[in-house]
Amino acid sequence: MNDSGFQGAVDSARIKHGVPGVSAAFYADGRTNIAASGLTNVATGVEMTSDAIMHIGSITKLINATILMQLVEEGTVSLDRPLLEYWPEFRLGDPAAAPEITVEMLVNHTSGIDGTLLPDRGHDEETIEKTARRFADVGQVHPPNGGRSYCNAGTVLAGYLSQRLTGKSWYDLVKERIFAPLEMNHAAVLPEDALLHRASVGHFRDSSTNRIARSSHLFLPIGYASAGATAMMSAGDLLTFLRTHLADGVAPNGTRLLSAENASRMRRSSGTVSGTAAFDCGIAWIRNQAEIVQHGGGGPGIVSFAFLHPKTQTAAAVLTNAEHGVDVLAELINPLAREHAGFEPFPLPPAPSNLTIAQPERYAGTYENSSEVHQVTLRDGRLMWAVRSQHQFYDSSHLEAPAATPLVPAADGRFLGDRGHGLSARDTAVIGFSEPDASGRMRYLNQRLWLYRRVAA
Amino acid sequence: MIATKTRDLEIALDAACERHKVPGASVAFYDGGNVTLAASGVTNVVTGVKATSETLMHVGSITKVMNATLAMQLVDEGALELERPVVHYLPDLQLGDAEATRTITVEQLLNHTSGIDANLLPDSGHDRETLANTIARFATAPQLHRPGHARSYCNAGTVLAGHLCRRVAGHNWYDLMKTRIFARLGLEHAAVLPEDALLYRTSVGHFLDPSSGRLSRSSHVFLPLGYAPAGSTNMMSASDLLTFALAHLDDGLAPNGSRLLSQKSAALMRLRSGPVHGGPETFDCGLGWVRVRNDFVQHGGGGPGIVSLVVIHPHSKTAAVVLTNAEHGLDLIVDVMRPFLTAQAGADPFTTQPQPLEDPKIDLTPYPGTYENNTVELDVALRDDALTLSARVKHQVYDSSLMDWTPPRKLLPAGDGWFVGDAPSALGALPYRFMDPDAAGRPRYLAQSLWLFGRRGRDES
Repeated sequence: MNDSGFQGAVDSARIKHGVPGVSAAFYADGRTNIAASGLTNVATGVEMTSDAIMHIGSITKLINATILMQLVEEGTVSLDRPLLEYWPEFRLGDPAAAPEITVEMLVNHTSGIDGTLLPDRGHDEETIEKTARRFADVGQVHPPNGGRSYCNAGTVLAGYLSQRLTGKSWYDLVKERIFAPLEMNHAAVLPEDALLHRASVGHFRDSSTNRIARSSHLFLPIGYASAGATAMMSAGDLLTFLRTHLADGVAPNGTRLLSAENASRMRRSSGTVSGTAAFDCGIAWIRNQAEIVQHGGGGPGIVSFAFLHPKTQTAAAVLTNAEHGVDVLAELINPLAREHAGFEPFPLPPAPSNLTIAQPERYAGTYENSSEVHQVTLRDGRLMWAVRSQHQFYDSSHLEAPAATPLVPAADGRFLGDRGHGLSARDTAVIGFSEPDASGRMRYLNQRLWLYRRVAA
Repeated sequence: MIATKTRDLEIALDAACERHKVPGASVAFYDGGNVTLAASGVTNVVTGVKATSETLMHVGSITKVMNATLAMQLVDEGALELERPVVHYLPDLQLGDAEATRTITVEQLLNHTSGIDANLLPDSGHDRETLANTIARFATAPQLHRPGHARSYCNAGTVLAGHLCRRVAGHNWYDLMKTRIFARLGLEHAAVLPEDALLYRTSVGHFLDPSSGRLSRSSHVFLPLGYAPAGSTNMMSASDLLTFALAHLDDGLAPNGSRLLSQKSAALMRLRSGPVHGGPETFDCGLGWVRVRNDFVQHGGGGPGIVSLVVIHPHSKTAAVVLTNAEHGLDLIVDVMRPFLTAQAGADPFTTQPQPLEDPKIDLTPYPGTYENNTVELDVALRDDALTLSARVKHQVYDSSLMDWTPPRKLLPAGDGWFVGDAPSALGALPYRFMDPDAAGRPRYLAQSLWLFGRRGRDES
């Protein structure tokens, strides 16, 4: 696809799905394509440009893990050592868990620490160190290495560890060790630095009126910076970072960011999980089929996505400033990934089926982690499902569970749930259950990258 | 009240931006009946985004008037008393000086007479720049003068006042600003947290390279965030700042009808406050407000590459706000405000600079010495029968901060202890005044603008 073709594709995907602004960049066949479309903010009407910085959300976890791997390379830290060895004051709600947690578990989502997001304590209280210390009060979703569930807490701790071992703030580490050597000039990791740039904000769509509203807040709690609360950049600068990983640690400007061995190690499967793994991953990279490694990002009114396909030397980043931007991601990413890797990272949900569910009571129960509660009930022999948030993080967070809807069996043995937000067909919840106890009742519910443990009937 | 945009004001502002090489400016005037707005230029020379009347610009130290308003709200509510020592409310208070810790009153924090010498401390980085950490750093701050014995513009006092409000009200300072000032006034284009500012069209500061005439964007957006109550983070539209000014002009009653402050407290903020001991004073002030000539009260603001000013004239029911995103924006402010204020109030607040004497017969020997506060050092020397001044800053705060000693500039006598620089330069062109002579006739202090610099080795007055 040539430049104008790509610009056209970005414009039409943005308009079709009612998203205020999109910035996208891809690298294939040795060429870079960049396009930007729409507005940074519907309230100000400032135009999106390819220099505008946009939230990358959890894609930050790749940057965070790259810094940690640089420290591994420098001999400052070992992945297989317990975190407690480097931070003797490390405490968790479950005293048995803390000594078991290694540095690697922080970045491959197997620590089990149930600290997806804690309530925002306000500006001066939201520091990485204070957040790391707050995990002293949280429990476990699963025992260390006894499962894999996407874990923000682990990445916060990894960021804190880098800060502690180097004696520098995590923000300075990102600037000095990633942005500066890669010459990422349209990137900011501190909210106050973002003001230097043309900066985008998140938006929500009211599903009843279809009106787009700017998010009322810009960032998730800032103490979660190393999990992805604050970083913003242009799609072009994110592509520069991706290409550095594609080239096994050598940046487009020739700087070596990481050794080839450590760059490829980040992409290899990491961890030996004894329980349910909600997904496969390396060091931060989420491993998809067809040798694609990828990471998505979310935040208040934003979604973003990045992937690499080393075999064909393809990489892409798409950033949107809408909660409902997933359709734009799918529309831009799927054809690229299909063309180069023969695989679509945004599949449609599996088809519903007429399968009869044997012993449906095995699935009923309340399943939760610290941010969401899934309620599965049995009504007239049918499984019903409802989900609610534990804290208000987004303008669209549902603290009250909406009315329960039927859980429909899918052909692949999982279940389909209607979130009822009307965002997209891709918003259908695909739910699995695992690890039956002696009585046959499920210990875990899984949905996307998360595990939820059963806490009550 | 309806805000109008007049083409005349826009044309004048466009011309002033051009003349003074200021990237962007926003103006709001009130003439006793109507509000007039104008905006010109760009928010940021790098992005080229246009400045509009809704654009948030730095207000800098104008925040101190809002911070003082918060404190006076708590006085109105009976939660604070101005005469009480701060330590009564903050038993864990620890300053570098034991007498200061024991005696500094709430009022002295708001009228710049506390003498705490911590004008600005080096930036400790995002996660460490909290209000509580800044207060903890004052534990080693020396005194520039004894509390209540002199007046020198004092950021530390206002930070401590903000911390005090936070402790007494039980909410973080940013939330107090949002709920007690912004929300009560119905402000819609105002942000006190950097992360909130990104929701809006926002401006950043700029510096002018005097040799090339080129403008460059500031490399950082804010002064250290731990100084927020002194004015490091606050941004708003000129129109929203005018709304705040109008609430003071109307003795505490906001344009939307809500009461920001009691009538008594609003009036008290404009009355002369301290010092009571007859020491040197660099300026006249009330609580938060700076009192200037012709019955104007005002406050200016600075930051990395920004200058701003709000002025009110209660007699003629006049208020004016000009915000600029240039370090050198003051000349534009004077140019744009002076005709309006003169027409409204029959006078203006801007003082004229003292002029050098034709034939000075002044003994210069008492003046040489090193004068300093915690951020700036001034070296005054006698060379070839002339007084010279060289300056340096002790830690980098702005892109333009001069860490090396500036070349010595002549100081020309202007009478009554005043001197003026002989040539324009970053610091040398400003008027200086030697003050508070000791028994040997040597000045204890050198004053420049609103600041006192103490002579190294001076005795206590």
